[in-house]
Amino acid sequence: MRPPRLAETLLTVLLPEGYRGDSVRGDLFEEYTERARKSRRRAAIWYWVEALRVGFRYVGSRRVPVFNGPGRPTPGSRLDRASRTSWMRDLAFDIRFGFRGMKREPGWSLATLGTLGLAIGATSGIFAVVYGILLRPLPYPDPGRLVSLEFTPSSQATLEEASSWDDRMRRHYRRSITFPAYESLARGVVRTRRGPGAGNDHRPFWGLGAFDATWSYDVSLGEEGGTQRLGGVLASASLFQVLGIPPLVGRWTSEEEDQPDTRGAVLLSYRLWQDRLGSRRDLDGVQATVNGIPYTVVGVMPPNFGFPSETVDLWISLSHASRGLGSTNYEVVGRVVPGPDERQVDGALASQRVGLIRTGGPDWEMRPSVTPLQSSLVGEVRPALALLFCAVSTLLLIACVNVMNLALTRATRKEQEHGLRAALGAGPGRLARLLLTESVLVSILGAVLGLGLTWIIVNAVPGFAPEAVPRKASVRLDGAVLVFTGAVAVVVGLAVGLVPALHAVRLRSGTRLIPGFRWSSWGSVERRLRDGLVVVQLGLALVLLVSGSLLIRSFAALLNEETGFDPVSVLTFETSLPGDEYAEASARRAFYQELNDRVLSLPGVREAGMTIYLPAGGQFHWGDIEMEGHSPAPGQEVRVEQKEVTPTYFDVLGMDLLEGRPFRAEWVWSDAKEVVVTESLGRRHLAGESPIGRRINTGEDEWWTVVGVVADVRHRGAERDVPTVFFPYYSYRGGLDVALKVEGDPGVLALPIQRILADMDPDVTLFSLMPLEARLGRAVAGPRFQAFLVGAFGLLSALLSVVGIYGVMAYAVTRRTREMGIRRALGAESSRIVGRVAAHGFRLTLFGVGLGLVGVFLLTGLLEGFLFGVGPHDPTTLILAVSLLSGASLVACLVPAFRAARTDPLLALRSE
Amino acid sequence: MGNRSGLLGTFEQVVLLAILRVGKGAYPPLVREALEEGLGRSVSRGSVYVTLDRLEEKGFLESTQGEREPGRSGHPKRYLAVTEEGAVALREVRNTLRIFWEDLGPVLDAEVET
Repeated sequence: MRPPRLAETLLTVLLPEGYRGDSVRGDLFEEYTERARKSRRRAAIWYWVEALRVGFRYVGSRRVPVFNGPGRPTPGSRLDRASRTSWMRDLAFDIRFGFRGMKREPGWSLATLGTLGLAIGATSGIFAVVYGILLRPLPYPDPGRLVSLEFTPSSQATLEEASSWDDRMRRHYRRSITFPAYESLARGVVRTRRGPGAGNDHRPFWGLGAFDATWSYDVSLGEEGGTQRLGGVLASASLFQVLGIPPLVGRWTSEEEDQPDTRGAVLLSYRLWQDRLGSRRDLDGVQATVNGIPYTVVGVMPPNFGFPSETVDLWISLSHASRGLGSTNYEVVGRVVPGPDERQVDGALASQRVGLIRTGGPDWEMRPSVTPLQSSLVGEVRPALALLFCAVSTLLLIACVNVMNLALTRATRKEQEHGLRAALGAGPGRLARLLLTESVLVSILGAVLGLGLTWIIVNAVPGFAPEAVPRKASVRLDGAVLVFTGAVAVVVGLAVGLVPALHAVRLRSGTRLIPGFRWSSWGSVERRLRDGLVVVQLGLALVLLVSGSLLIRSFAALLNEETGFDPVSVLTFETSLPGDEYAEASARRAFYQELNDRVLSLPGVREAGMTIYLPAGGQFHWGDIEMEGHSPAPGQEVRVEQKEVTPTYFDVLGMDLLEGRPFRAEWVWSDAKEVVVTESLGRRHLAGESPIGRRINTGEDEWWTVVGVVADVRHRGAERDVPTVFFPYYSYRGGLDVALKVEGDPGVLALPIQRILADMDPDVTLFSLMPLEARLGRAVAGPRFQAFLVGAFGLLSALLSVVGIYGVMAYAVTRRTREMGIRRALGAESSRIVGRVAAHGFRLTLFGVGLGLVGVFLLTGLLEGFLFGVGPHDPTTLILAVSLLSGASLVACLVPAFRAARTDPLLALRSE
Repeated sequence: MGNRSGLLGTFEQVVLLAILRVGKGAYPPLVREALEEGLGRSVSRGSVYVTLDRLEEKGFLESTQGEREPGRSGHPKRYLAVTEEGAVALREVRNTLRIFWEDLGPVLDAEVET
């Protein structure tokens, strides 16, 4: 049992050398041991408190030898120690002085501590989030050498085609290639021999690993059965060597287990191992059935391993993975050899080409390049986090201005005291140090209080942040965050204390001893400073308030968006077909025909519709079409989203038919050459003419007739205003998504649907079984997160600045009590006094709001990417925010104004 | 040696008396205990140590370094004893006070109107 190390060290520094100091430490140690027998934690706290009390008491009492001689003391000499001690003694005194000051003015301390605690706590909390997600090094050995490979079109033809890709498509093809492409790339760039024998091998990678995190899997483990849908990753054996994290139990998968048609292997996450296998260490003979295929469980990864995201529970060898040329789903990570930097690696990769072979057009040729793994894992959340950090920094700035104003007020109040100190011989430096120490002390105490808020933010974020935010588990309240908090506290303390310190330094001894001697030049400088601070504060608050309101309005717009369909009471799921059995279109049709009939027979299901992609799922299929009687200018081709749907799809999703008719419902599978289009096709490409009856061609020389027009389907994520052409389901090669219009609780249908599919074909995978509303909810989780936080910061900042202006006005009135009293005594009417005081406040508000508007126009443009359905300079939002802020601030001015008007003349005159 | 009682503050007096009360083997924690018992309030460790140092510098008490004990993480105890000078100073304080107190009992014991 040892007392806290740091406290012991502190004591050693503060206590005198020799056995006296030693004996004190012995005494405290003795008592600590005694107390620790009852409770170690309490004993540790006690030890800290006593170490500080005794230590500082000692330092504070030490006699300082006077040093009069020229020059500096020799380092390490007694005199040197003495001067160090004197410095510490001053510090101890200043700290005690600070505490006493706070005790004497509880109102001031409470306001300052509260404001700073709130702002520093929130800033530290957001910093913890930003640090954990963006900055903390990845938990792999030598993470700086881990890179993610990216691919950009290299041939002219590919480049031309790529120019028409939409954002999501571009993102997908930037990251993902086919397995054959990965293999040939690995042959070209990975060193085969290491060490001294490597000779002239200049290839830039120690290893490359491929993974496909697109899917999730139905998994049962061990003998107990019970299938669970889990996040899984298809991972090449080399991936684990590249990442370099050894398994906790067992071994990694091997290259043999990646070969096609061998018995595959899986690695389990720690979480899954605990839950489903009860942490048994003996994995011999344990098997996992993944989507109906048996795999051997070969190992368990340690608890903190989560690649590429924390939701992954299973790493599956590639034995049964799709290696087809059509499966462009493999992302590639690599470990670079020591030495070359990113540019040199890119140089070494310049000669490499990755071919993506396609069936429906010319092959694409891509050139690989590298980007640090860390930034590629977190790249997409960076702007959102930057936004949050900006917002919270503004809040901190506003809080600082508030506290600065409070400090200034206090400094003026204490002019006499400081003047007295100066008169008694305190040099300007000493006085400044006293005030700075005091303000840093307050700021640090505020930060300590604020850590409570930091803790709340750190713990709430993983639950509250959208699912897609990576690395949430590495958001922790740890040393790095504490260092940041400490640094912010000190900087804020110094900044806030600077003005009062300068104020005190400018005092000449004596001048401030005379009561009532006030209307000096400093007075006007100070007044202007205070007014300026309020103006800045109001301006900043307006910017933050407008930003928050914009995000909230944008979020509301998302929720109330006219989607073109009705998601209520619609249950959805997705299916995926195993390749070989369903190679023939007729087999696929037969399967879905049966599925359709069987789900319709379930109680509560009113209608079933199928499509290749449900809305808000993030998937899409683009293509150019040719329209009869429409010859577009080059570059103006008719680009549409193409979707195959069953005839009942429109009914299930409640899509409004605007014109014509839907597909003939009597056919479940229609082979009539008819299409239904969304209204924007006519609006955009036919100058508003009705497209009904027109024929369109998808490029395969098949002509389809438009028979119906439905309302546009919109949802966040899809390019708005891009027309969709619905084809009858005919031959789409992949699995279909199913939407069911249900009555009552859709939850009770989950199990029967799973049973039906398992019964029909256990190899067919069922996934994402959820209400359509939940799908839409997932799409707005990000905006909800930003809107909530920035909105909260905006309101908080408005509150702080209103308190700020109230403080300034109230103070101005107090200072002018005498003047008001005289005016009243000479017969001034109350209304005139109110007017005078309020006018001052109004002016400040006006300037502040003006400044804020300039800021809004300069800065909110940066928000554009986060907004939906509302512009960055939306007038309604602006008017609302301006009236809210100025209204509150005017009320804050009127309260002291009325108080001024009620001043009793006699009392006022006596007050000086 | 002149009269040195003027150099003894009240707290210093009770510290010296507490050391005498504890007697042989007095060291700071025991002295503090005796002080708290006698004064009926808590006494901060820091002020005890600082007072002890001051009294030692004035020559009213002397301290000896004890053995290094493992129960104290190898730190020695500081044994305290009141010096002859200390005893003289205490006596002088008592005598001075006695002179002033003489005959004042009835005055101070009565209820005093303020």
